Amino acid sequence: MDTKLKKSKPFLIWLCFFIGMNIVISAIMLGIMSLDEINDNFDVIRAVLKQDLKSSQNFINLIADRFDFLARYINDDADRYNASGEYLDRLENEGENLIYYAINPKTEKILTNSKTDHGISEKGKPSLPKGYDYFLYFDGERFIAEQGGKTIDVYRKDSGYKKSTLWRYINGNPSSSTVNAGELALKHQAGLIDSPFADMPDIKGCKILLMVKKNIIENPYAYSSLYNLKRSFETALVIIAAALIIFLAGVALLVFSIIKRNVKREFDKVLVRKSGAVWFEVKAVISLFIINIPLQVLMYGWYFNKELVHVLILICFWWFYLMFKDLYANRRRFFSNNSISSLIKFYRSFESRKPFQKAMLLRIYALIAAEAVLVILVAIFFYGFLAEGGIYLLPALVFFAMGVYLAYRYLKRYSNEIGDMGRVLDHIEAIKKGDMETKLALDPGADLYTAAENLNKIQEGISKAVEEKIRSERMKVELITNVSHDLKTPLTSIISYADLLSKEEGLPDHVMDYIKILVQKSDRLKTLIQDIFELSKATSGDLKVEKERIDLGKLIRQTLADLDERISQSGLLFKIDIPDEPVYIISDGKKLYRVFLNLIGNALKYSLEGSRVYITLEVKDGKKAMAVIKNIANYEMDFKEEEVLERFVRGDKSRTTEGSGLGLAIARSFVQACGGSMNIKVDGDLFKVELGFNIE
Amino acid sequence: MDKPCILVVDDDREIVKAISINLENEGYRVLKAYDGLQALDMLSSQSVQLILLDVMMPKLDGLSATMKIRQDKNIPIIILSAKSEDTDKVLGLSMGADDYVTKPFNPMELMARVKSQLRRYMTLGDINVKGKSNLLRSGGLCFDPDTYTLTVDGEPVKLTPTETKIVELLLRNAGRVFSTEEIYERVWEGPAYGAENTVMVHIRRIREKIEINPKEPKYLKVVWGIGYKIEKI
Repeated sequence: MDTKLKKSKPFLIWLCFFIGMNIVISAIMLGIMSLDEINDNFDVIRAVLKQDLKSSQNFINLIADRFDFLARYINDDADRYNASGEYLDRLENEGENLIYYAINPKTEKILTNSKTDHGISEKGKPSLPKGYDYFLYFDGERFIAEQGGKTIDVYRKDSGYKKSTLWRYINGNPSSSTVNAGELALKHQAGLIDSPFADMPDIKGCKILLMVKKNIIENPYAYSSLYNLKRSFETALVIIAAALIIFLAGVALLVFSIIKRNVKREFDKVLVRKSGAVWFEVKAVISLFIINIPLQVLMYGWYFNKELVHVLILICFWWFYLMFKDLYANRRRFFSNNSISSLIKFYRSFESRKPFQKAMLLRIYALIAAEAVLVILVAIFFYGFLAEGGIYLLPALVFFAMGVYLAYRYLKRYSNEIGDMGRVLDHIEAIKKGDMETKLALDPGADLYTAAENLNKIQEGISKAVEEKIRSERMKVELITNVSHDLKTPLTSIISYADLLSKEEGLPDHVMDYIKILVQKSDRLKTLIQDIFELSKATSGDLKVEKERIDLGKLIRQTLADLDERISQSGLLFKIDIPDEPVYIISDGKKLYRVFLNLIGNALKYSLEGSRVYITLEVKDGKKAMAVIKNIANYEMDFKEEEVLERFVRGDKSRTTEGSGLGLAIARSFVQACGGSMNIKVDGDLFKVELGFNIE
Repeated sequence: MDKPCILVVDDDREIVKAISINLENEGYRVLKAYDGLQALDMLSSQSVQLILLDVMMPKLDGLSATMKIRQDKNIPIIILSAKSEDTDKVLGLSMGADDYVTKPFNPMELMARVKSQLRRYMTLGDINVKGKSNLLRSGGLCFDPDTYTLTVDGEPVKLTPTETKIVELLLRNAGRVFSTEEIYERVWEGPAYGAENTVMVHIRRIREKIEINPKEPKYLKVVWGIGYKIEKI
């Protein structure tokens, strides 16, 4: 209920605005329309407001006409116009409202509805009977008039009498008229004056008296013009009052709607949305039609049909009100929503259902077809212009402009597309370089918009996957750190107590053997845990590498010197070929020491007894340092080169009792972390490890 | 004060017991504590010559305990920890610990480190008082140029003349990295053509003589791919 009211509120306010505006505009229009009658109208209004019937022009005109009739009939002049007694009846119809008395001394004819002559046989003013307050009297030479005891100067230039049909009698000269006969006839036809007579009889010497009752009453037997006039005066007062009230109400509504203009605007928006959906051409044509209304009115005036003009002007106002609101709110869309753009939009929705390549081809075909049609149209109309001239030029120009516009639209779109393609390519490049943050934002209308959105989604997916991976790696490292700590603590006890046991004396030999195995295995477990920890850190990328400039040859020699004792005890022959000049690389010496320690350690462990181990270092092309370790295996290497690095994971048969079996895997991940490469080659019993580093 | 008293602190009672047995076999008196606060309590009431301290313990962890102890005591502290990262070791040593042993440790090695720290703490103090100014020193390593003798934590070490020369060179320039060529030229006083291996083997031998664990040297360190140095401690 409440929401409904809220919803309808803008409309109600807008309705207030609409009604108020209409009233105010109508009032202004009425004011303008009555500008040239303004004096008369003011007199009428003033008379109506005062309810002073007898000084109003309408009353004077009526009395003047009645005087005219009397003047003619008393002179037997009416016959010239084939007027029967009908005009005299009009005097009669007034009943007691109007007393008339006319006498022609020449013919002694008397026309009256009264029994007395009201003292007009004497010289001077006639005497008004009781209940009467107005008279108009012609004493044979002059007019005398009186109303409510006051004398009226009939001869005054601005008096209503001079404007009435009485003018000819007052002037005494029909030709000195301010009104010509033709106009008089027109006015008669229009019902503005009763008298059809164009000239005047000679009334010199005649005495004509007209007296009007103070309170004009209805004549139950006939139509009284005076009573009718009185009634219309009374209703006019009511009408004026009503008009005033309506006008004030209109102003009030308008003011109210202006105060509440924010609410009113809500409904304006509804209107504007509706009118915004209409094509520009339609609005333009209607506007052209409607703009004609005020132009027509300005040119021809409004006399032909005031009511129609009134309504048309209002329609004109509201139309342009809507157009300006539309233009203000929709701005460019006011113009851009036209038949061509709708056509293009329709075409585009059709195109969007096609695959990209097809759509692009289709667009070129559509452009060519449209241009061809336009060229033909231009040619036809231009030919028409050459042959017939004039009006054929306009359509030719319009179609030509359409063709140019279409080509412009296509080219603009095409250039946008090229720009978008560039941006898509840049974006792909950025993704390749690892930028997962910036999104590609293309205009939603662009042809590559879907592609860009898909690219964004792919980027998002990658970024999510990478994030996930990093998180899981970190968790793995944390897990391994914790597990290795938890393994180390009990292992410490095992090692400690195994050691204590081994020092125990007086134990049987077989118990001592058991203890020895315990000591050995707990030691193996120790290295195993340390290696797993190291390897997991290296493979999860958590390894800290401290790079510096080192001599790879020296590093290998230092490692060999470190293993000096084991080498000499092994019975293997080490063939070392390392250049005397330094081979500088940028790497982490500590990590590389571990690598060579593991690799040489392996060679010591798995080489055939009495065989030779070759360790060489050479520089290739001055760019790459290649370190190679070769040895002859003391077992059959029935595994593939790649497998050897994963042996531990794969649970291979060639696991040994000492070491963790992770040596090679650790070596390779360390080499990779240090920026080098490690390859393993197996050729029969020849086991070969190649390490490659970039020379500094 | 005839038997040195050692405080063993670890929340794992079995480890404490094993270490205690080893220490008692070596002839030390042992105090046992199972968390940092307990250790601090014992330190305030008893005379202790060395502390073996675990890091991860309830109530008060080993590193915080080390900091507290170092506020008023100079006794040697050996940290025992399952954390084997270099950064952990550096952190422990910088907190004021004298040595850092990672779990699981070799009991023999631990005993050696205990002995070495105790020797240094109890006998080296006297040498310090004597204050011979021309002694070359790095931590527990001490070289007397007058007598041409090297002591590690007060214990004399037998070195060959070449080894002594190498140690003297490195100790005089403690902290500086020497390449093998430079060492050869300075010690053998001849051109170092193809003599690198000789130097390297000599260094390995010295390390075996002066280090408790030659695989994790404390004094004579290899700078891989560059050379050798004695740490300035």
